[in-house]
Amino acid sequence: MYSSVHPSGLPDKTAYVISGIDLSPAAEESSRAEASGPYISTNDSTIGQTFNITLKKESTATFYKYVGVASNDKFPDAVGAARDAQAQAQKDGWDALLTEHSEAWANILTESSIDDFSDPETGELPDDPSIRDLQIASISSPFYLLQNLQPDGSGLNDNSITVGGLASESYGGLVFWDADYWMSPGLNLAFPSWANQISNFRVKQLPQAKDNAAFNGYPNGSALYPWTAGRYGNCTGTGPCVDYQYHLNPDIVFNILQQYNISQNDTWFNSGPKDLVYSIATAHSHLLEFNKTTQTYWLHNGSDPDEYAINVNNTAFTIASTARLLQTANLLRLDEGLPIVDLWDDQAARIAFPQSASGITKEYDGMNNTVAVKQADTVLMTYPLDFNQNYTSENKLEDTDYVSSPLN
Amino acid sequence: MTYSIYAIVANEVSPSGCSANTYTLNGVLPYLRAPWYQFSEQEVDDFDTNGGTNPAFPFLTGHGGFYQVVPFGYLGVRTDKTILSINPSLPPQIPYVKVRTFYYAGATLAATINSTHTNLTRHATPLSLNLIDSYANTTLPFIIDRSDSNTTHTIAINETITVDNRLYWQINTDAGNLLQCLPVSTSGAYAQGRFPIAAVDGATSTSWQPLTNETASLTVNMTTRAFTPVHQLSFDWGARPPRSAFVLLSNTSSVSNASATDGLAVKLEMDNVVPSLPYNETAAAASNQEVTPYVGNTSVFPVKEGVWSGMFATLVVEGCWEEDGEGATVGEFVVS
Repeated sequence: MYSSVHPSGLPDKTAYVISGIDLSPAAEESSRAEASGPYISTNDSTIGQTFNITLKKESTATFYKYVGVASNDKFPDAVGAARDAQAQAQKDGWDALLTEHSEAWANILTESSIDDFSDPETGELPDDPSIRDLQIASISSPFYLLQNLQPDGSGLNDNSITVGGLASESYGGLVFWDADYWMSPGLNLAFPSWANQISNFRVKQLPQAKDNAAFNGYPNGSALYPWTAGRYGNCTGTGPCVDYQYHLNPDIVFNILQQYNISQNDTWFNSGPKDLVYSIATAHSHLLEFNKTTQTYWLHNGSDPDEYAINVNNTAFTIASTARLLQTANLLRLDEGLPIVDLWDDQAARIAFPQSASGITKEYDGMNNTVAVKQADTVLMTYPLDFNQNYTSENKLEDTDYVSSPLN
Repeated sequence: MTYSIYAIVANEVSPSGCSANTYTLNGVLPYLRAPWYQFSEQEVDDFDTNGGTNPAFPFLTGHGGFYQVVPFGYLGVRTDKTILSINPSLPPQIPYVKVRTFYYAGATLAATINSTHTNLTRHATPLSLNLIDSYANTTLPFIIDRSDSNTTHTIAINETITVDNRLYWQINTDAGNLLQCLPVSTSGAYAQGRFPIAAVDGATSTSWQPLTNETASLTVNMTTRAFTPVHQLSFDWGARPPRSAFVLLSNTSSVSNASATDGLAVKLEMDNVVPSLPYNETAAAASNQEVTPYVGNTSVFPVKEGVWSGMFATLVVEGCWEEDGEGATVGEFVVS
């Protein structure tokens, strides 16, 4: 059986699904018929078939289905690739495939690549059931993340990772900041070649990000990424490039710099990532506006990760990220033997950082004490941002205690 | 996803206590779904009771957040500088962890952490990894980053360096507290993510909350502590003080109310718990204007001469000043 689908408006981009089954000995091959009924979707791409099955008492019947899937986004002869994969799978059979699968995972997710809470003397986990759960999550987390990744050299690793992964439609299957900021850091450390899939996507869409910035009137050499990105990375309704969560841009930069620190691969860094860093620094420098009254640089009409607070000024995490970004970009210029951009250093030093009289960081200019906080926001300035500009350990602790008040 | 970051931040900036462990559990246990241990986006998946959200599932963002806690939280790795930086400290509830093998500047590193020390070992980088060790022929510099001092060290291939952990969790948040960071058990149900250990983690920013306002208890295992005279019970209840409470000090973990009359436990009663911060409309309106630190309701109960700590301390709470049927909160339970 086979079917194919293409995205709306893209008749040339097609994915093929080809399946075969092995029902013997319980099914009568001659009973094969096209399926119909309420459980078959009326979508044109849906097809099903039925067989009569004879189940014998006290006897297990096992049914196998072998599926090949390929899209001509990555495979020029997609229908051939899907057919070959299906045919090979059916020829090899379940047992061989399972062995192959287990061996592949054993090579990827090795024992030493897993955080291990067991006692080094006894090899046993502590009795505490919470630690047993931490251990299981320490295995399941890299497993579920890596399921959606391919390593360098595969030719398949330039589409990042979506909120729910390849088998989920949540968040429209789009890519958000969490790929770069939440999923990548742990993988960067232990699976750097696999984690590159996340930054490869951003580097691939850098030309579009430059167009996005130009379209919005930003100076030459700027880049702006859209809040949600799919095939194109252009500015859309769900993926605005301006007046929204600008922090996405420095989030992308900081992940790329982490990957660079881990690999120190200059060939890679100089073939796109470095241009991305400077382009975002240029855009965020333009984003800041000097306020003559306060003598500080303001960031207008933004939103922080706490999506309960939108279209506000001087969002703490975003403006702190911008300061770090501008300083970091200048350090990179120094490393390259280039003169620093004086404006970037001045802007970084004089951001309009929103602090309350009590010393607690406000999420944005004008926030009061009644505001409900959706998710971690100011706490991100300590980690992962590592923001230290007039921001002491006491500030960090107070901010963490303040935003954790839902747990009080 | 949020609480995993709180765990990392708490382990970096807390001057005392073990809320890093509470936050770690907050970031994982309420979100992990058996049998395949995938993260959900919400603590409660039911659309009708979680505020009308269909949670993303599997929520890879949650996996990614948790996957940062061991290296960035406990080992204190920072990857935002050209030189590797570590700052190890392991919460006392976790006796040991071997960190995933990781890479920096192309070098290969392994770390094991126990309660007091961390061993950092450098290995040769395998050719198969498509990584080039920038320090292949020399030692790798790294920074031990403490909040008060940074020191630079070097490590050679096949060398192991032992680093002292920061033992900040040994410091009492409340002076003389006999309970901080000790093991806690309860047989009763508690609200999602409001763990009993939060009552003794030396942080009022986390709290224990029984599921309902009916009588509920937790027991702190004090068997690792020497017997000590007790002078005072003190509480930070958070936003929801109970109507009354009592504490049983005994040498058995299975105490009941009757144990006191049987002479098996000392019962310290607090019949009349009164909110120290009763709602005041004018004060509330004023405090809404300015962002100020969160303050919980507190109570202090002196203990008469001659009472000693035992092997177990059981806290029993009854009722709640909020009349919504949900449980009272205990931000911190202190016996000193």
